Amino acid sequence: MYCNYTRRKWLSNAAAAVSGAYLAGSRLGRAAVAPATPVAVARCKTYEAAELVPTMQKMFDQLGGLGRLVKGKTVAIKINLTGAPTYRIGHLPLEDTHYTHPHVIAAAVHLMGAAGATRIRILESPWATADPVEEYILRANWEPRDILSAARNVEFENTNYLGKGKKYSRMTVPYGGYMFPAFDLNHSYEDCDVFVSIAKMKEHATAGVTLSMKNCFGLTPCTVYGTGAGVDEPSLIPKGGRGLIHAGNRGPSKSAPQEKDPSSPREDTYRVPRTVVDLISARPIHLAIIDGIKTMTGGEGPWIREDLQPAAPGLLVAGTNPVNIDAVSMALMGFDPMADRGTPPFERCDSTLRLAEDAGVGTRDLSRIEVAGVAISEAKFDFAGIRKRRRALPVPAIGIRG
Amino acid sequence: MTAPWTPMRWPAAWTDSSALDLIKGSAIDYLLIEKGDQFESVRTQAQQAGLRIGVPDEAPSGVTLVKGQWPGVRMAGRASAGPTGDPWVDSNGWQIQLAGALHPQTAVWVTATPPQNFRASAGAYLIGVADSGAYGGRWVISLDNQLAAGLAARRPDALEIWKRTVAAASFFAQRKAWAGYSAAAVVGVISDFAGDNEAFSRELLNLLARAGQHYRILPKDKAPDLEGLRAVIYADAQQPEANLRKQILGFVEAGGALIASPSWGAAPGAAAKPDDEGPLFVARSLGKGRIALAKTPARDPYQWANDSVVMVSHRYDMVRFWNGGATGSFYATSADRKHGVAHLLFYANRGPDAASVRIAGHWKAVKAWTPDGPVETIETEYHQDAIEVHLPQVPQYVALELE
Repeated sequence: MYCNYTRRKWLSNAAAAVSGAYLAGSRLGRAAVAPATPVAVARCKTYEAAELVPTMQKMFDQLGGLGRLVKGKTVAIKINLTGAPTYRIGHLPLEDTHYTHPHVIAAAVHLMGAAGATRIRILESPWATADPVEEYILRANWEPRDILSAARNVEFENTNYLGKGKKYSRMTVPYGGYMFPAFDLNHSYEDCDVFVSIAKMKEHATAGVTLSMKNCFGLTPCTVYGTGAGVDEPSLIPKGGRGLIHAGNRGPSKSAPQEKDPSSPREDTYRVPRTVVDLISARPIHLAIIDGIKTMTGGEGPWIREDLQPAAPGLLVAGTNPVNIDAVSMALMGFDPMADRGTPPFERCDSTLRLAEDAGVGTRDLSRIEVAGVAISEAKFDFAGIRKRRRALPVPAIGIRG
Repeated sequence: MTAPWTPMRWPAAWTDSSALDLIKGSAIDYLLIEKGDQFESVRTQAQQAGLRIGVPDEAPSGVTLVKGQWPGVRMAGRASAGPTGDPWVDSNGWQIQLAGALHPQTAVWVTATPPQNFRASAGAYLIGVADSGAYGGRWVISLDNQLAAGLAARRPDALEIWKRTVAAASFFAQRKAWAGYSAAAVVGVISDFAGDNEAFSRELLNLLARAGQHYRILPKDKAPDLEGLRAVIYADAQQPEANLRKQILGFVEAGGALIASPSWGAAPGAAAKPDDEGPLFVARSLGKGRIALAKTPARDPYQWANDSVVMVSHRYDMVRFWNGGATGSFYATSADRKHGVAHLLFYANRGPDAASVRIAGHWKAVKAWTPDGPVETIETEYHQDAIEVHLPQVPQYVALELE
C-alpha cells in the first residue's frame, strides 16, 4: 500500500505545498508562505485515562476531528523509546522522564480506533535490537496489552531493521534533501495512509530540543544507518546507534542512497538537524502529539551528562504540522522558536525548526500559528530558565549506569 | 549444593606462620597450601588452630572444583556497545550451577586468580567472593601478589581490602542455608553436558546467564523437574530417550514451550502461524503449548540464548534491573518457597547509585543486605506479581532477602 494520504487532502488551511522549487526562493519569502495550521494545547496533570482521554479527544476536535484523518485508514504511529529500557532517571519509570508515556499512546490508539482507523501500527526502532517492540517495552515494565487492546487491529513493529517487510522502502526527499536525497526505511513507513509522531517534550544534547520532528530521527534502520550497518547491503540485525549519521565517519550501506555532499561538516550539530528535516520531508507527519505531562530537563535521556531532573509541565500539545507544533512546544518550554544557532536551546547546533521552515514544511512564526485551548503564556513551563541556571553550575559527575 | 567451608589459597610468599593472624576470627576455615617444607610451620599451626588443610587444585572429598575465570566486565578489545549498551560480563555462576546439578551432594569451589595487570580493590575482591557465593559456591580466596605482600607488611590499604574481603566471605558463611535453595527459573536446559554436547550446552548456559535468563539445569540422566518452567531447551545432538521425550511433550501439551535442535526428530502438533516463525526456528503448536525446532543443527549458542529469551518472553523475567550497569543475578527459594533470596551483582568498579530491581513473585517483605550490613533506606513497591526495590548507593553485591 502506498502512502497516498497527503497533508493537502486533510489540512483545510494548508497554504503551501512542499516542492522542489521551494528552496529556490528567498529564505524570508519561504518562511512567509510556509504552512501554518492550528495547534492544540491542553493542560493535563496526570496520565489517568479519566483525564487523558477526554483531554486528547477535545484537542483532536479542536484540530478538526480525528475521523477526517484516520477513518478507514492504516495509521502508523512513531513513538519515542530512546535509549535502552534499563536506564532511568533515578528510580523513576522511563515514561515519567524520557519515553513517550504508554497511556498517551494507548489513549491516542483508543481515540483513533473510535474514529474509524482500520489498522493502527505502533512503530519504533529500539536500541540495538531486532527483538519485537513488545519484548522491548516489557523490559521497561510496560504491559504491551494495554496498548494492543486499546483499539481493534493494533500491532507493533520494530523498524530498526527489515522487519516484516520483504525489502526496504525507498522514501525520497521532495526538495532533494539537505543531507540525503532519499532513505531506505522499514516498509512500515510507506505502508500506511496516515503517519503520526508521538514525542516527548525534552531538551536534546545534539539538536537543542527533541519534539515531533526529532522523534523521527529513529525512522532510520540501524541495519543501514547504524554503527554496525552492512557496508554493501544492510546488516541482518541492528547493532549500536546511529553514529554514522551523527559523525559522518562512514556512509550508510551502499545499497541505500548516499549522502549528497561528503565534504559537508562532519559535526553532529550540523548533520542531525538536517537529516531530521530530510526524514520528515521524505516521510511527512500528518499528526503530531507531544507528551509534556511528565518529562525531564537537561537532555533526552539518562546518559546525558547534565544535572538531569524530572519535570511535570502537565501539558499536551497536538497539531497537524510538525514545525508548527514544535514551534508552539518550544514556546511552551520558554524558548524562542525563532532562535538560531548560538541562541538557547541551539547554542551549539542548527535549528531543526528553521531548516524545516526553509524547506517549506511549516512556519515557526508564532504570529502565524493559531493556538487552540490554553494560551502559551498561561501554560509555559520554564525549561529555558532551568537550563540557564543549570548551565551556570559545574557539570555533575555521572552516576554508574553501565 | 552444600557450602560447609570457606576456602583460601595460601599465598606462596607467606612462609611465615604469623600470617595466620590475618585468618584468625574470620570465616576462612579451609587453607589450600602448596606442598613444600617452607610451609611446614604454617600447616602445623593452622591445624592446631582447627583449620582444615588441603592442596591447591586438588578437590578435597565432598568438594567439586571448578576452574573459573576472574569475574567482572571484560575489558579486552574495543567495546562495541554504545553508552547504553550491555557490557560483556564474565561470571562463574553458570559453572557453579552446572557443577551443583551434576554433583548435588557436594560443595562447589571455584579457582580463579586475579588477572595480569589486576588492580586490587575491595570492590574487585567483593565481586570475586560474591560471584561464587551468590550461586551457592565458594571462591577459593586467592590474593594477587601485591595484596599478599601488602598484607604481609600489614600495610593499611592492604588491610582495608582484606577486611572487606573477609567480611564478604563471612557474609556467605553465615548464610550457608542459601546454598541449598533452588534456582528460581523460567526455562530448563536439558542436556548431558558431555561429549559432543559439552561445548554447545555449556556455552549456552554461559550465554543464557549473560542474557539475564534464569534457568534450571536438568541433566539428561535424571528425570527432569519441569515444575514451574515456561520452556525447556533441548539442544543435544542425539534424540531424547523415549521417556524423556514423552515427559517433555506432556509439558508442552500443558502449555509449555520446547526449543529443540533438529535432532529432536519429527515434532507432533500443527504448523504455527507464519508470524510465529523466526529465521532460525520452525514453530509448531501442540496442545496448549508450542515447539520451536531449529532449522539447522545447533551451531550458535549466542543466537540460541538470545532467541530463547524472546521466545519465552521478557514478560516472565525473574529479575529486571534498571541503572545497574553490568549486572548479574541469581534468584533462589527455599524448599517450602516461603523464603527467597535474590543475589544482585554489579560488576563495574563501583556499585550503582540509583539502581532499581524487580523481582518476580508474590513476596510480602524484603530486606536488603550487603556484606557491611543491612541497607536501611530501600524503597519498595509491591506489584501484582512482583516486588520492585529501589536501592540507594550500594556496593557491588546486594542480597534481597524475601519473605
